[in-house]
Amino acid sequence: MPGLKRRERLLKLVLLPPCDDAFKAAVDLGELARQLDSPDEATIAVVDDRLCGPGMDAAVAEHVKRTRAEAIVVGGPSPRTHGEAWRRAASGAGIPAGRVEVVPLWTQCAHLAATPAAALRRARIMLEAAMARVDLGPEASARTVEASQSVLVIGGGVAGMQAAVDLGDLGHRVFLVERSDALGGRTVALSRTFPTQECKPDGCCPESCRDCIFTPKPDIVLSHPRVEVMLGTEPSSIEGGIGGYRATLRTPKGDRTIEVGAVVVATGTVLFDPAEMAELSPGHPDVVTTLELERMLDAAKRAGGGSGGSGGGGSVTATPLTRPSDGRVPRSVHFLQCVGSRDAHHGTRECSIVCCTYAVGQALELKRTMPPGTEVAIHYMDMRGPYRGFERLYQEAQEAGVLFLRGRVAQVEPFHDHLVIEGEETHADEPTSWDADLVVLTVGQLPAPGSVALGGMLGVPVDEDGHLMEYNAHWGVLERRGVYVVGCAAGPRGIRYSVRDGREAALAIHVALRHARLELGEGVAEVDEGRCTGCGQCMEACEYDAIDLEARTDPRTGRRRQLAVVDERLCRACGGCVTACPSTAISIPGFSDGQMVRQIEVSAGERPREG
Amino acid sequence: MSTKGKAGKGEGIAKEWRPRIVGFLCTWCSYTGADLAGVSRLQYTPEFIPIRVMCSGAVDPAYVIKALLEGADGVLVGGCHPGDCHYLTGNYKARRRFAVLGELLEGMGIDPRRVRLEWISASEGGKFAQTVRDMERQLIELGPNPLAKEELL
Amino acid sequence: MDYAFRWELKGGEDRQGAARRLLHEALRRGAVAAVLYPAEARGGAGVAYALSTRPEHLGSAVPLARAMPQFGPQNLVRATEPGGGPIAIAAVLKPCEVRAVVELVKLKQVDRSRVILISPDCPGTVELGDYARTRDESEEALPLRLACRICRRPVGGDTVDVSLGTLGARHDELLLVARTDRGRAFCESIGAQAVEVPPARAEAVARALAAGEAAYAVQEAASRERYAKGGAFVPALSTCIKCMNCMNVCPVCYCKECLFYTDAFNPTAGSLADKAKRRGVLRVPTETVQFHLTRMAHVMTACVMCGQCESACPTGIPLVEMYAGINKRIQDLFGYESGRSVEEAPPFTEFREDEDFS
Repeated sequence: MPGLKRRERLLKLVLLPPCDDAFKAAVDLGELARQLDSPDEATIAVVDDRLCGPGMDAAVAEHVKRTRAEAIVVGGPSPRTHGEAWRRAASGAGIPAGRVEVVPLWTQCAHLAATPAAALRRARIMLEAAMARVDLGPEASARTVEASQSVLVIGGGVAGMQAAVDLGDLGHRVFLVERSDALGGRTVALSRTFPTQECKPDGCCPESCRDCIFTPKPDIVLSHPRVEVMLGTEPSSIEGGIGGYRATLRTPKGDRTIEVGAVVVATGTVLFDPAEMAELSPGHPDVVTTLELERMLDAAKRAGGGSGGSGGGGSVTATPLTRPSDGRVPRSVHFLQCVGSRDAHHGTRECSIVCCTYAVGQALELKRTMPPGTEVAIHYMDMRGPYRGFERLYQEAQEAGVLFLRGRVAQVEPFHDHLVIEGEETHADEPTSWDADLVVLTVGQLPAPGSVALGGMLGVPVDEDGHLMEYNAHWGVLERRGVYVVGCAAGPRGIRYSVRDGREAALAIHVALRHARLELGEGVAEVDEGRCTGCGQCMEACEYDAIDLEARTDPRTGRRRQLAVVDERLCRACGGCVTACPSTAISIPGFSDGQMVRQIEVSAGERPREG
Repeated sequence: MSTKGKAGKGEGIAKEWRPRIVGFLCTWCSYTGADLAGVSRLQYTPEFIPIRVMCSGAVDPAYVIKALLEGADGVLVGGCHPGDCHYLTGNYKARRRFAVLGELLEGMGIDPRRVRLEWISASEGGKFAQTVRDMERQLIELGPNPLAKEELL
Repeated sequence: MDYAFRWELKGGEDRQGAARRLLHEALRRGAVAAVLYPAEARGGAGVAYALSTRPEHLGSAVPLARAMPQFGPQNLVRATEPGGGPIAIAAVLKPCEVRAVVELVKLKQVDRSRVILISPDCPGTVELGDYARTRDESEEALPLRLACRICRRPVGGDTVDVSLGTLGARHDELLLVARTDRGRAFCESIGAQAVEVPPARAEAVARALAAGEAAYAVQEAASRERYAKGGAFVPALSTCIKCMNCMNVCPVCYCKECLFYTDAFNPTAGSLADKAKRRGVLRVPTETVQFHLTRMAHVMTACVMCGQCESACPTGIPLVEMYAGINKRIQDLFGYESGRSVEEAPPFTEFREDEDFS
């Protein structure tokens, strides 16, 4: 029509990668491309095999350069699974993420239509809706924020120490805070771990075994040039978001505030205290926990000065351990598994992972160091050995004569000079009882005290037992960017995996913070200060405390008033604030009202262009 | 009763009316559920057109109204199950907004059954397909959206 | 706890005169620094809101006027902005306007601490345009606005500082009912005489509220018949010219710039032609029904049924009748009543995990 001004449109490149056989069978890609090609609509459609392979990025760049496209619509893959890859390819060609639309024709189109014509029609509608939307796509790429390169590590156990050392080695400044007055966490109390490397006759432990490959050494941490260790210190508040956390630490010398880019939570676990389970007579001197047994075994070994390692060929030159009550050598030692684990009423609901392994290890050790004929038994519900080496240990223990009794124990009662265990055994028809001179309670691992408060401080969910759930397996993302929970704080596990956690987190943090400016990939909410009334509805709607009201100058009136301000490190781009604002004074680039309306217009009413 | 199967050969021949449904699907749950339905080759009407949003809590009722006024016979809003929202509580807020929208539409003579808020998780491909099929059945009963025929809106 | 005060009619004045004198005293004694009140134009031609800091200018005040100019609550938004006005303002507003102010307080648009809210018991108002010719009519002959005929809350609630009570009051007095400590202090500071709250007051208020509920219920049913079942909605909007007066005068439509002034919902030139081509015929300006439905979706939880929207509509769209069919029902979904309390958070920012609206 003469005189009618044509609307300005972005030049759009529609890519139809021919990778999906079912889709190719349902829709004639060449015909689809031909129908979409239109100078009027500023659209160029391309079918190219190279889009299906490793040459994808190069092919995209070439087409963009050739056509001088300003926006890309990809017809085929799903944005859920492939969005990242296509945005990367587009970005490499100079097209910002907000001007890329990925349309799931393979999963949400091809198989639905009865005829090729109908399939083609549907594909066109979906692509034209995406084209209408991308026409208003924002020009800017994702926002960036400054990223502090320092890291706060909370907890000086093996996981925290490994993370600190690795981060230090990668060039980051590390603040390692530890609540107690020593590094090493719970492993310090151990003189041996199971299954062992058998590298030394007297067992292995982090302090004494220089060759131990599993655990980081406190003195290496303490002497690392980039790691600052603060003992007797805990965080009292942590604010901010990835790249910019402000932590206030309570140290013995007073409060101190630091700025870090990420936080590692390595607060570990504590052993369950069986005092609350009166039915097991925990107060009785001959009812001990596995840790107490560990001390007793260690003391006996040192007193004897001989061997006693659980490796092969154990001789009985060590002094056997004696009962706390009367100093006699016990004729029978019974272990009760799962005390405070897998329990809805005491301790944790979860399995504590390592207990079967070390109880079997300790039982085997007893069999080798106690006088022949000493009865060593383990009462268990299930034998769980998640680590390589366990089965061998279990086999050895059985061969050495350790009794494995499956069934639940109801109570432990003192009787004369020994103890009586009442319980059930799976193969017996009636409740059974056993006599034991020494009862060992295999106590579970509970999250360290304060985990719930720490989770609240960091915005990380905590499960019913107090474990910090920083990683959402459902979505495959961190719940809170920049917060990494490692080791037993996330759930019971053994030493080697705690250490590995620390190492992995260090690398992940290094990758996340590697640029001095961090790219906030999802886009963040933006406030139009000229339209914001400061009503605070967006602030109320935001689940992440990313929005606040602050004094700002209203650009329309020049006056100071309270207006919404977004903390971009905390914003998750969910759009809750956008719906809460009746005038859309706050919006998310890529999801603007204009874009949504365009897409809706085509999706609701569009009939494909003829031709 | 579906009128499917009567699509004529090629364009130009008048087809029997099939309801057009616009679906606002939240990225993390229902949109992924739709992908799963597709991978599993579950059938539903091709007149269902999906629009991806981040969260059901990000669907302004104005968008749903727009869809109905642009010719959609029905609108589906797909969100995560209560308690499972990736953004914690977006779906709870959507629930309130759409309760209001339902009352509003009904009060103005637009059948509220044309707008449905449904909880569909990422693993519920079957539920997704079934929901769309149910909606189509319902909309066939209700007939075309009378607003679509109004000339002066 | 309510406190009552007697404001005796003096020297042959009527209640209107007594109310005017009350405002005069408030300024003269410095109980407040300014007063916002309805003022009668010269010769009784009309009523407009006025803001005064001087007692000698209150001669035209008609606090009990049977008309309600638009923008009453919006005036308070302006007046309580930082740097916007005197520190303590007494505002004479109708009960519905006060409810709107409460909603605006929750949305941080009005600074409650700077206002003393004075609200007369309201027997209803006429359209502004009818004021001049009806100002001397008898009560029965007054052509009250529909919003007033079906008003459920003709008396201020406990969000008001002082009710200018006529219900349950003696003929020779205005019964000042102070609902808040600040209201009580105000009454004391103007020299009103403290009295016991008369039982007649509670009875009269209860009767008025019950009558309001009953009238509303009748209209709600009739509206549902017309709009929910009768298909009257689109025809009723057929005369809409998208002037947006309804949105502009609405006290709870608080956006600085309405969504419908932006490009998002207004097709630009090129796409307008596209749209016309696609649909065959296109009403222009576009988005009229979209505008009304969206406004209802955004605002109905806060709507106080003041009816200013309909009063301002140049083509007589029956908005009050339309809204009557949904307003209470929508707020009832959440057990919410707009304007009832500053403590009640607007429904869209809250939820209960176990609620189910199906």
